[in-house]
Amino acid sequence: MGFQVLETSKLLNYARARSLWIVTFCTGCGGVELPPTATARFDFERFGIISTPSIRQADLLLITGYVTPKTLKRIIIVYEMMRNPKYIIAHGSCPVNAGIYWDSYNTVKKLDLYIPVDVWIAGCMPRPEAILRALVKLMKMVKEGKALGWKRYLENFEFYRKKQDRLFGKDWRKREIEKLRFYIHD
Amino acid sequence: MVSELLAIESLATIASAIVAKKSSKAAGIITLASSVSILAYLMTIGPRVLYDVVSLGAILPGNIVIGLTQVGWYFSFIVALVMLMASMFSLEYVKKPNATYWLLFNLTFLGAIGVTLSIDLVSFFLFWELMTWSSYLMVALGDTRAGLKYFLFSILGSISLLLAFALMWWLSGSTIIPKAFSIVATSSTAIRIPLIILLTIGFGVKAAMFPIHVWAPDAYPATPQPFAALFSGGLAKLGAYGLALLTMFISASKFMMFEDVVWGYVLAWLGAVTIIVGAVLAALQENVLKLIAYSSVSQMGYVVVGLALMTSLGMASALYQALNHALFGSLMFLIAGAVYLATGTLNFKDLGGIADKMPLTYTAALIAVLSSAGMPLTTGFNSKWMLFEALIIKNYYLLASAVFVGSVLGFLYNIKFVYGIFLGQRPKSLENVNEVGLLALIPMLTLAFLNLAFGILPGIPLQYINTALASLGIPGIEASLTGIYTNIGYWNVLYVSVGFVLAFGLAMVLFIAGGKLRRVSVLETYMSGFIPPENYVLRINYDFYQPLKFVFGRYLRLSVDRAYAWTTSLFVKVADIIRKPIYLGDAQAYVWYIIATIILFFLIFIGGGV
Amino acid sequence: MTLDVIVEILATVGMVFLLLILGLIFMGIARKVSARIHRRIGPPLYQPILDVIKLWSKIDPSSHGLTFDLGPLIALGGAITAALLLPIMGLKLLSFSGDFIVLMYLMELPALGIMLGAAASGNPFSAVGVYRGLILFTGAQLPYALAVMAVAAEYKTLSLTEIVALQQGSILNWGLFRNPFAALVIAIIGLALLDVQPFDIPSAPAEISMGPMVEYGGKHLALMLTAHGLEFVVFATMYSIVFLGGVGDPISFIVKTVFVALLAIFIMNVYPRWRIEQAFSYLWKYPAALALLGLVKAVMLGGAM
Repeated sequence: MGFQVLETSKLLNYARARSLWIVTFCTGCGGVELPPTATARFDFERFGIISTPSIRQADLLLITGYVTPKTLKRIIIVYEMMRNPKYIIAHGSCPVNAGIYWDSYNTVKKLDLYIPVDVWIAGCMPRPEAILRALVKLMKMVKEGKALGWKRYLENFEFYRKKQDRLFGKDWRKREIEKLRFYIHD
Repeated sequence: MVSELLAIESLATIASAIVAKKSSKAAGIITLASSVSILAYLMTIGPRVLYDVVSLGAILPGNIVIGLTQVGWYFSFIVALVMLMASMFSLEYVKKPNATYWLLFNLTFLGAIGVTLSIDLVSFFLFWELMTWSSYLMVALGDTRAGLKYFLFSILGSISLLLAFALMWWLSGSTIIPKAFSIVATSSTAIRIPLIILLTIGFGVKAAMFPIHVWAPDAYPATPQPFAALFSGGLAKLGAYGLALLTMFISASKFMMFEDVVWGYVLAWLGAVTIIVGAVLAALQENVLKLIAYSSVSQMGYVVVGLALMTSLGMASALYQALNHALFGSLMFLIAGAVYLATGTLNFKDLGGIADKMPLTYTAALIAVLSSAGMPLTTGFNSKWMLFEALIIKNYYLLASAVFVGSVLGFLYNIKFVYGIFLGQRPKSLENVNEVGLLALIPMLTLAFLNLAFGILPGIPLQYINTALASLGIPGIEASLTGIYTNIGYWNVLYVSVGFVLAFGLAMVLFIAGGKLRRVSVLETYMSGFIPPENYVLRINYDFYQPLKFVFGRYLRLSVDRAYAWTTSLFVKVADIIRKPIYLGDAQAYVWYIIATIILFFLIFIGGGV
Repeated sequence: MTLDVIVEILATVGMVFLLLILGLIFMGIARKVSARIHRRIGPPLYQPILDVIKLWSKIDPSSHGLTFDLGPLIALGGAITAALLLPIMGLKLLSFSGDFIVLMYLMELPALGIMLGAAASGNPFSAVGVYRGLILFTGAQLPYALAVMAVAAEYKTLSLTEIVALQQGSILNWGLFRNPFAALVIAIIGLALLDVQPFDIPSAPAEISMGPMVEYGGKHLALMLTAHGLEFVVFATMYSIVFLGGVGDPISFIVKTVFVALLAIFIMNVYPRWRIEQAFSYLWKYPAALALLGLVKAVMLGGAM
């Protein structure tokens, strides 16, 4: 089937909206608000959202907490391994503008330069009600076909790559691999 | 007419041995031509009775009888088919001039085909010994200790066979096989029990049955792989041939006494233990050839169980399994040979991920593995299904459960075989692996095709099996071209395969209609967020079934091999104790021995003779 | 090719689609009932259908080669073929082509397909899931074989239609009451065959991140989830046919299969996960002993009338 049909069909968008799967990847201290949202009191499973440990199967990545360059490398690797269409929610004040670490030398202040974000949630920490509201907003955007962060990433790939390389230095993936040589006994 | 076959093969042996000193290719062509002619003759003449009395007046007094019977035709077909595939593969495998290999290869085939074509006990035994000796020499060239083990067990078997044949000749007065074997059924208990035990040991050694199987895992890896294909695919069937003769004549005579039933039950349990022990040990091996050797031992266990049941369905399933094991067992050895030719190594530690480089070999390996595990629509399933039905009809429920567990244990080593060699990450050293040549591919793909063909059309082999059973007066089994029917169940391959094809087609339609696939390399895989370097080992190439070792730990310490080794060392110790007081190694003691002997003779001489 | 045969073929095709949807609804029932046990609301019953549609609509799924793609295809093909052999609601198109033993082997085909595909993905987590899955599968077979032999001894036949026919008459003729040991053992083994707690070690989600399915996403996973749901239905139907008196009409089909599914779901929510060696030791001791008792009962105390 053509790309267009897969993207814009109403049935498929409805299915995508009512069955978001979250990667179980809690990047920072904001992750502590996810278990209450998932369990009996606030229960996001009634919207069809479950958390899955495998990134090939998931389509929603929650950046929950402050982002250092070390974490950002992992987030980029994980984001690129996820399959399109995929969405990102920036959860907490730290992804917005580094929150309470606004004057630290080691946190990323503007996350939008490196990966595309669809929904932002402010708060330190956002309560489960706020998270549910953001999830409902994302579901509405997906149903209408307006959550197109993944498309922005694909179309402006050069831009994002340039910004990532500017932060980490060129060939940062090779240098990441070199760091693991220590653990390889050949 | 039939003795011409043996003459052709003898000439081919001599010719190829002479020619192989200069060119291996010519020797291979001679071997191939002779095996093609033998197979073609067998297929055109079909199963029937043909006697040919050959007089050996110059060498031995009396005549030997060479000929065809229906049962003999079936087994000679199996041996000839395996030989054809193995010799075609050998043309690719043995490139340098190697007279020993071609001579022993042809001699083994001569012995094997002679066994199935002999109608009297003397020629049976002569060809049996020829086959054993030539395969022993081949094993000893690879690994001396394995050869010695094989030799000792074969001697044990041969002595038992010789004693049993002598007893049968004494009881029945003739050496013709049908008369000699049918005397076993009607002889008195005191003679029958030792006779049956001797025959079981004699044939069981060759068929690698449970307590006497220990030579097989060391002997099969010691030979070159095409020879091992003939060894496990052809020679082990001859042990089954002997057991089949014995059980078929006993069951046909309708004189089954209580001892026969007990012996059948014990033999069936030995077969079931063979299946389970072979499968568990195969799953724990780290060398490809040893894994295939143990799996070969395990699969022959099904034949023993089927024969021991002595009902027509059981014996039919055993004969069918003999054909199937020749098809997928020798295929597995040929695949190991192809992998060795392409990569040069046969340890799981160094292999992995060559499915992309050797796609045709991989397809043949997949089909071999599916057949060996007993998946429906392949030929391995048909014989296993018949065996289960036979066991349930005879109310041997515990045996049926044991055989079922053994059959499922077969999954373990089959998946390990495919995963360890063909799937997963490819190590750097195997980057330049190529597919093997055409002469090696043709036998592998032909055997794979036969696996599928006989799986979907079980009627073709079953027709010949029914002929073989009917020739001895045993009722056949009910089978059409694509279906088998028993008292308590049925299996209609045609409808189920049509159903499977349609289901697979539906799944493929749903699959293709989805998004477009993106091929990713094996390094771009989920490793908790980091990118693995290129020589990071991503496959599990050692100790794949570690929990199994943990669970069976206590039982794995028992070993029949070590029991034999312990017995041998016991004999050595006892012999040492006897030797020490006598062979003192001291010249003076020997002089005293000489003087004592002279005095003794003198006294006897004076006393006037004994 | 008379009209009857054509009608039966069409009915069978319709039945296959019905079973596919029903399999997904069973998975939805599992999630809803688990949620209620946890005192939550839970997703709607048709949620797995939405999951499958979403997965199928992924725009560029990744693949590791031909065998990787073949895994889900063999799984779904095998599950559908196994479903075709069951006599459901009066449809007997293929059920005269294979008996109980054929059904048992065909039910193994989806697991084999998934194991092959997972092995082909080259991920170490998948390889760990593969060997654990195979060992668990082997562990489940000893009690399974003994229980099936008990059933064969009880009914003296292996044909599914005849087993159903032998259970008609009164409720006490059901296999559940004639050989309760075998029924109990096959219920426990069903948990092992379907990857359900306490035997879900092959796809231990938090430990080896979904085990064999870690590299599967997109339409591969859609087919595998459908196959998994269909396996669930096939097992529940097989259990109803052998022990609960057959599924001759739609009402008894739904009631009996949902009953079996609920049994599995209740046990699944209470137990944590066993390690592989604990699971294997357990399976080869207690269910095997129970199944042996069932076999003894079937042989000694008489079988079919």
